[in-house]
Amino acid sequence: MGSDDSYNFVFKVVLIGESGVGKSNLLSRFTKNEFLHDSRTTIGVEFSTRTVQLDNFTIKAQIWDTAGLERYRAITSAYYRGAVGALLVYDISKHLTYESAERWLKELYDHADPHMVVMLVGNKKDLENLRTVPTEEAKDFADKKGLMFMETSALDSTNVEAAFNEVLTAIHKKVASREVTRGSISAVTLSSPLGLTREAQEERKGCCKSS
Amino acid sequence: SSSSSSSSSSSSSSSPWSLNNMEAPPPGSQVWPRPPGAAGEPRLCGFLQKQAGPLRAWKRRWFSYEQNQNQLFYFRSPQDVAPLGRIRLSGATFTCPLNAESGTFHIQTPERTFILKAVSQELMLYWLQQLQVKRWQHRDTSTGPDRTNTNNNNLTGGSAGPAAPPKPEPTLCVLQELVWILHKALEASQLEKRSCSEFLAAQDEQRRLELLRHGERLAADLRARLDGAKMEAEALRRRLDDRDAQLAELQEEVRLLEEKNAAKQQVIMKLTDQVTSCLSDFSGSDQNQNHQNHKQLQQQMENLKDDLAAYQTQNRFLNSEIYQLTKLWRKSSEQERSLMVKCAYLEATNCQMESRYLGVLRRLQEAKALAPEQQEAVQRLIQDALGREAKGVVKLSADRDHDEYGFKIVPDYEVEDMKLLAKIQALEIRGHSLLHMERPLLARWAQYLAGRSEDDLCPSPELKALLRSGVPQQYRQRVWRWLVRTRTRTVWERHPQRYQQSRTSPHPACRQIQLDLHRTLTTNQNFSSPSSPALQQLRRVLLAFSWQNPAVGYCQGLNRLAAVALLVLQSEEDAFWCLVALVDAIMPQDYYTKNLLASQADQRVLKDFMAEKLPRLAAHLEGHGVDVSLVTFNWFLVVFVESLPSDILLPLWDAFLYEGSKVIFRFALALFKYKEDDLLKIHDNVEIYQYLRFFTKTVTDSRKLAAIAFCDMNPFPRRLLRNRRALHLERLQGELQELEEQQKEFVTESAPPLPCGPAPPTEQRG
Repeated sequence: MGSDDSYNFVFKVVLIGESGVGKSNLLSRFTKNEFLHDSRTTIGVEFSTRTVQLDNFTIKAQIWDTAGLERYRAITSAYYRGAVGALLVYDISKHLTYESAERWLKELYDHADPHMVVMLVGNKKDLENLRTVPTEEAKDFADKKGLMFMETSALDSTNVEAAFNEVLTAIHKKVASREVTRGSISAVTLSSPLGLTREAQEERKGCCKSS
Repeated sequence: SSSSSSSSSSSSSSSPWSLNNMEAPPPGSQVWPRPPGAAGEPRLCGFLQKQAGPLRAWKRRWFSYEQNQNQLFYFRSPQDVAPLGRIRLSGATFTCPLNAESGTFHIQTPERTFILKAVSQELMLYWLQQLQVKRWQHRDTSTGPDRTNTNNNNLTGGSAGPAAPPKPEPTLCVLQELVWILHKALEASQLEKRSCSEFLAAQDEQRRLELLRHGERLAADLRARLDGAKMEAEALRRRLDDRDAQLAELQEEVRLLEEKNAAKQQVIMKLTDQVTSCLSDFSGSDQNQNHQNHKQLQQQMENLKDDLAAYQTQNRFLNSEIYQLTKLWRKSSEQERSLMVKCAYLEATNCQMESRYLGVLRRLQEAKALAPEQQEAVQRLIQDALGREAKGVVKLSADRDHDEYGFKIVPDYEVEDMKLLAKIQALEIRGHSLLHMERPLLARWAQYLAGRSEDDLCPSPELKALLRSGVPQQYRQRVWRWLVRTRTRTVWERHPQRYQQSRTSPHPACRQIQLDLHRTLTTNQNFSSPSSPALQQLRRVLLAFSWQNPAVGYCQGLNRLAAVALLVLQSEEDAFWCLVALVDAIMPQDYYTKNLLASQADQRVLKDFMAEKLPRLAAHLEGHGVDVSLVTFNWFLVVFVESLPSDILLPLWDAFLYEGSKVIFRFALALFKYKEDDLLKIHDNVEIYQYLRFFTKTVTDSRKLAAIAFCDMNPFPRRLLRNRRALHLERLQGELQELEEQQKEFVTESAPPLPCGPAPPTEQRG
């Protein structure tokens, strides 16, 4: 407990990518520090939250895990709305999942804020001997697209924490520095600076209703 | 005259069959010829057939003998005066030809031959006899014209003489022979007379000599001929002798053969005797043996009878034993049952107490007013309570972690800090299930299904009500099978082999199916192991379905539906048909196809219903910017699989398979209603979402939930649902079209995209 203490920001982050690349396990690793070898298929959207401390701020990360199946695109894309960050996940051992990254990116920008923070995540780093996507290739692609990049393993938890934290930090930076005009970025945060204070106050006085 | 009298007397008396005939006249003769003489004035007369004319036709005529003229007159009828004709008997001869019809006789006169026929042979002979007598009598009495005849007789010589007068007893043959001899004698004498007269007529010696010589020549010639004839006779005699010798030889041979034959017959006789004796011997010994066998059998039968009696007594004893044991067993099982009930009740009470205790602890934990050491004590107590799980009282039935279908009875909470709540819930579920002995329901189902075959089940309000209460586990497979068969009847009647046919070849969806196999019902015992046969069954069912319905192919979520079907139906083929029933019959069209359009529409329909049926909650969620479809979409697409605990899920499916997709709406609304108060207490968007993620699993009272779904949510007209669905589907399609147009516009407006996508792997590696 204590993880759902009062918070200053709520950031909505979506996990996207082809089916079976390990999105749900990244989520469970990050929010519950669990890895299920047989995590169930995601139907539609699932989500989980975790509160992290960045600098002096408490940030509640609301991470939306979406189904990777093409057919769910119409449903899941509806949930991109309001997301300020995204992890575009592919499987380093399955080149096909990497090849579709551009399609996912387009999908994301079609339905979400174009200024959102996006990280390209090569998951299943533990399957090094089965790798079909070279790190450099993916890195180049991420650079060209202006994406952050990281390779992770939900199985042995390599870089999972780091990846989420980097994304959250980047979002926070964007929000805090207000590098974008207020109209743009504040609209994508779940709580505007005004609302943030109000919410934070509310949260503090009623912290016993956490469950 | 004496001879004539004697002859007449003899003719009337000594002819044996004339007398006989008089006494017993042959039947059928109309008129009996009356013999003359004996009584009054008898006349010889009667009907005879007379052959006449060129056609030789028989005509019936009345014949009457006239003594004076010795003539036989014949008339057309007895009354006629003028005769048709007459036969003069004085020069007549009578014959009866042997080869003619019986009764036929001829009267030959010098002028012509009359052919007559009497009715019978006897009558004919009578007539002939009488006519002979008449002729004889008349010749005696008459003097004139018959003298020449006598002379002729005399001329023939002494041999003929004595023959002429009729013998006292003349038989027909004798008379005929006599006549014939007389004729011959007459002929011979006439010949002699002619030669004598010729000889006498010769004029001179020479002539006579010549005649003599001629006679001698004739004699010599005759002698020579005689010699020839003699020689011939000799030769013939010799031949005859030869023949006789031959005959003798042959006779000898015949005799030998006969002897041989006799000998052989004797041998045969002997052999036959032997055979019969052998046979009789054999049958005799057989009988003997039979007798022995019979005795043995009887002995055996006696033994068997003894055995039987023994067995009967034993059986009687055992029966009583069984009876007593059954009584004992029943008594003890009754005791056991009552103890079980008591135990269950106690356990339930215990569970309730414990859950209440834990609830109190939980509240204490949240209470801020407690002193630090008190808080510490509470924490310790909570730790104890959670730790007790391992060896606690609830573990009395430790084997019941999973239900009959392999689902975990107490759901896993994915949230770390929910353990206490989970524990409370587990205790509540346990308490509920222990208290709700499903006996009445079980009895109702047993009664309903008794004597019904699978085809006998038919839709009825009774069945509907029963299904809403849920099907007991032991009948669920059967009932589901029937529900599925009913839903898919039209398809499987046309293609009964559809499952077997469609699963052979791989499908484009194969990869995704394979990927999802290990991610299906992961918490279920039957699917958790990677080597479980259920996974391969699931693969085959999904693959078969992707061929059966190419428009859907495979869609994530179908794996869960198929898995539940497999668990309940226990058969790949039935699970396949269950999937067909679900996708093709129960769910609206396009629920699982591209864009999941109907699924999206249903989410909007649900929002409408929530606004109507749960207005307060709907407003609350709206106010906090909560989109319930985030959670409910999942519920609808997989019909609550992995959202609800199995003791709620399966009864829900029972009703769902029968009533259709409206049941999903009912339960979705009921779930919100069930936890409405809890939800209304939460005033934070994230927390509401958080709560929505798992609240379905905290529902413990399945009866209460079902009551809300099926009663509190009424009225729930089907037509309303249909109309809403159609409305939202139309809107969605419009929006989709609009979006597509916008995208097209965007693409054409913006510059062609930068060529910086992920290059194909070959290029990169090269």
